[in-house]
Amino acid sequence: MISFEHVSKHYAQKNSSLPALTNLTFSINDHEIFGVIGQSGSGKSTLLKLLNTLEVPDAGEIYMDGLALSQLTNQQRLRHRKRLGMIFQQFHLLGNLTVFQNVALPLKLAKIKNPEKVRQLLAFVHLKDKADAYPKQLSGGQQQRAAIARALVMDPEILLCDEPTSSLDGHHAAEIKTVLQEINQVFGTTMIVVSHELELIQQLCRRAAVLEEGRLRAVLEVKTTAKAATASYYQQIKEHLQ
Amino acid sequence: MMTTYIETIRYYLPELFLSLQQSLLMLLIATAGAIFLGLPLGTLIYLSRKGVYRYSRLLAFFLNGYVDIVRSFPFLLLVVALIPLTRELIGTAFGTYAAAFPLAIVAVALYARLVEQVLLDVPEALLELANVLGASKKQLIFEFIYVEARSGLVLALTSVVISLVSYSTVMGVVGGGGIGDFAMRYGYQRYEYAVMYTAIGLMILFVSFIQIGGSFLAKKIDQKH
Repeated sequence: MISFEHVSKHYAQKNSSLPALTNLTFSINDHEIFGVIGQSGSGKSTLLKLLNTLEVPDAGEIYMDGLALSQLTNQQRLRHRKRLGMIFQQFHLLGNLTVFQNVALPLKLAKIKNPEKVRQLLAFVHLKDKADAYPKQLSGGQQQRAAIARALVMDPEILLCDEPTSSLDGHHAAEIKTVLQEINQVFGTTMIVVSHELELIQQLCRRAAVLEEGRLRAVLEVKTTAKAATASYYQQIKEHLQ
Repeated sequence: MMTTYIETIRYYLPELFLSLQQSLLMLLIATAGAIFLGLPLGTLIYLSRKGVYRYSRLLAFFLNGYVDIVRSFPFLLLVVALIPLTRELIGTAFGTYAAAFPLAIVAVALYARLVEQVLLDVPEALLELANVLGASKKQLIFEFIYVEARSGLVLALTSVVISLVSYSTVMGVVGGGGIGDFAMRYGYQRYEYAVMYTAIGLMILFVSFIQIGGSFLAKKIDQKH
């Protein structure tokens, strides 16, 4: 369980301070796929940075399983970050590493050798045959799937998704949605999906926080549509255009 | 005419070989300096620019100072100015080893600056990723930055080595010898222009070889493009 209690964050500018988040209070349940929706500049990225402890709130506190994130020691902070997996809009794969090496990178950092685990995850994201390929040889969707496998390799309890489909076209975006749903079902991973794409939030999340200029407008129950994320590219186009 | 040329070159061959050995020795020492000191120094300047260390600004000030001072020295003057220090450290200010010292000082500064510039091209996203994955500073450098910047680092080192070939030619001043000194003494000063142009030809060949080798290696280890 993650709870935000009166969290505010400002960024100092030359003569003033720019509020990024103001007085946020809400909570996210375990095993939930929780959406955070808002336009750019609404504070979505700041929210992820706070969860990651890359930033500390100016006021208020974020609790994760009862642990106050701003009180962590350096050692605890590193351990905390390892409980989280993160996927990015631009994938952030290392171009000079193969898909296998990219996925294995968090293990290498933690000095763990587990090639079997890497292979299993590559199979899970349907990239088994691309293990020795370099990112430049993959499509955007495949790169994002590799990045997802990397995020999962340390068995995170929480997966933070920063605009996971924004740089992908319709078909590849649908693929990623399916993979994310599967992760939630198979591993029970709590997910926080930050996006400005209403459709993604609608298809993935049960609840979503709406941010506007750093303020929480509401936490909405999402009406799930039966729209299958697995529909073919042609079906999706037809659905949209007709 | 051809026979005279061959005879002249044959006459100077032992000196030529010796000078090539001296050049190679000076270059090896200076290049080792660039790799083992210039690379960490450049990385440190880059990291302090990124504010990774607590005393980043102060550190950057001193490191940049060293690099700028060394680089702004006319090379010949640097060699002469360093004579007392060279004598202190190496025991003599004369000979190939003594000549390699100022060359290494320049190599460190040159490569440090180029390393910093190469690393500045590493995407910010990579630092973000390293942070998110909880990488230590050492891991950030070796598992992220150097991995992605490796071909740029090789190309920068290639440029440094080529500059060093040029710098090393004036080392006759402190008795460092080398191919440049050979060309001056046995070619230019004895009016043996064939000898001088042969030496220059050899240097061009050598530099081309380094450039081709460096570019080839850089391309081979680059999987990004």
